[in-house]
Amino acid sequence: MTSEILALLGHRAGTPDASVRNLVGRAIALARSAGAKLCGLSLCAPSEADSLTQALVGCGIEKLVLVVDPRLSPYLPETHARAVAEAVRRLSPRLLFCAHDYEGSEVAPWVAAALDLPLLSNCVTLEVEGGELVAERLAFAGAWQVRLRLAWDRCAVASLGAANPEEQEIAVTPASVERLALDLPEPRSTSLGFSTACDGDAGLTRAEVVVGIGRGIGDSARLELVDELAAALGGSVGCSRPLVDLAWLPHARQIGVSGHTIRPKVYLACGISGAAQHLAGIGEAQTVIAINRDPTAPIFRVAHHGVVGDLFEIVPALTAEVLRRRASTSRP
Amino acid sequence: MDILVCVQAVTHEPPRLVEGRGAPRFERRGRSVLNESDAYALDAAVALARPSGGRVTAVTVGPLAAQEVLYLALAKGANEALRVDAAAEPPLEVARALAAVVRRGRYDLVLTGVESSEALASAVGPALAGFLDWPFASAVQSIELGIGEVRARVERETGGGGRQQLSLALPAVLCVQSGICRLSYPPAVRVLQARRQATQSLAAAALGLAVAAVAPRATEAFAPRSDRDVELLEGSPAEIAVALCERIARARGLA
Repeated sequence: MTSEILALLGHRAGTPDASVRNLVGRAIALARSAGAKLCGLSLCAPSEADSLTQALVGCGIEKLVLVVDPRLSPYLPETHARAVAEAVRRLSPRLLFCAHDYEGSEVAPWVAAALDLPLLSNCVTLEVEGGELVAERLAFAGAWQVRLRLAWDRCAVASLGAANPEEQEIAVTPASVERLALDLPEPRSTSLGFSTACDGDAGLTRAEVVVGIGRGIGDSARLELVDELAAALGGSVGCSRPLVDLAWLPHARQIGVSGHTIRPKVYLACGISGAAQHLAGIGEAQTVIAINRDPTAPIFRVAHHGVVGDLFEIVPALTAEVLRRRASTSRP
Repeated sequence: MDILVCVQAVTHEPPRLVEGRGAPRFERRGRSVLNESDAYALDAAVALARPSGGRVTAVTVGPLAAQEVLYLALAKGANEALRVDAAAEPPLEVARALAAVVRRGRYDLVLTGVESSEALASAVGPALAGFLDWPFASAVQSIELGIGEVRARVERETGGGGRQQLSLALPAVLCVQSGICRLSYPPAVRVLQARRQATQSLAAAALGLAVAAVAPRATEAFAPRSDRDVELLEGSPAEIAVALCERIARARGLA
């Protein structure tokens, strides 16, 4: 086992994923604590190698390991997982560190199983302490946070959930680049193409105010409450995933990991519990206001202002107050 | 088309942390229900197996209390149900137990939910595929079986509203996302009938499971940290509405 931390750096057609910055920031802190060398691993097709190298050499890693093979684009879960596992076998790092995004959440557990390595999945934090990896992760739908410790005397696999990275001094020295040739077996999967789930975003990504609605609405017939509030505020209506699964609202209005990321000045979350996948879509909202009858709802951990109460009382009252102020020419 | 569906028992109400020293222990509260994305996986499996007269087997890994979700699975249309009597965590060990179950049978397809609402790890399905060395895909939104049922065409989410279409050779592991179909809600009488059906129970030892050499150990549990101190507004709805309007105006730069 080497003293290297290997960060899996995802990309789309040679452009690094948004998760790379957060992952590298955390990995730098970890590498410094452990006295380890930080290496990046990226898999790509030959046509992507140059642009990807240029984008990654200055991201803060000390060494970039590229696996270049035409079968690595487009992404296939089976091929990528197998390639990463083989790279880990060959490079023998202390840690394989992935983002807990769509690809990382597929690759990390597969590699841990295939190589019989311990796994720390979807961590909120990951640190080194006394020769052990110490991770914290949410449990029981976010109701509890659990600290886990793992003796770090062999290779481990860890994935990091979305979080604001600690600001780290990024090394000015460009990373060295190494190509790793792997003998990949023919995949049993084939990519047939890509598409989008919906046309447009119903104005969500440009709205100054977004009113979000979740399961708390209880019945699709009551959605007009939220429509009225959004209209009064001159905003847009968004929702959490369950309302799209129930076909109460179209996918264009979904906010979260599998929907849209929004950046409004104000986000009003009504009857939304605050599942991690939804919170990932509102991280850049400037002001978050939560209305929920459950005081333990995770949404209150990220809200600036909150109301523990019945949205069927609060929302109509808020709409009425907004309209009253507009009528007296004082817009809220 | 014989399909194995991996399901987990969860509770809606968060468990209570039991006071004591050593590894944190939780006391579950409320009745066991099917993990939501596993419920979607079950309905998808029944719809896939039905046209060819195939069979759906539901499996869960957990203590006796987890048996409850097997009755729900049978009520939703599973033909058989079995429980591995072992701890329902960590995800890697659950996947190891499920792989042993798969190897004992002959399944054309294994479905899991994309993630447990409790563990939030999305790890069991991909780890299961890793142990079996089977093709796999996660966050699956649609499944179609090809002619001869030797391949499956699936659509998986890629984030931000994107989708990828894949063709996979069977057998394969597919981790099903919520919303793949309309959820079925079996009537109470069917659940009562399901309770009279026999289910299998397998001891972990009977599966010859190897214990992981090294595994993370939980040392502490606490209420999750908040990103910030939320200002909680109180009063009548009308008073709260006034306070909210002021804060909204300030945030929009209009105050």
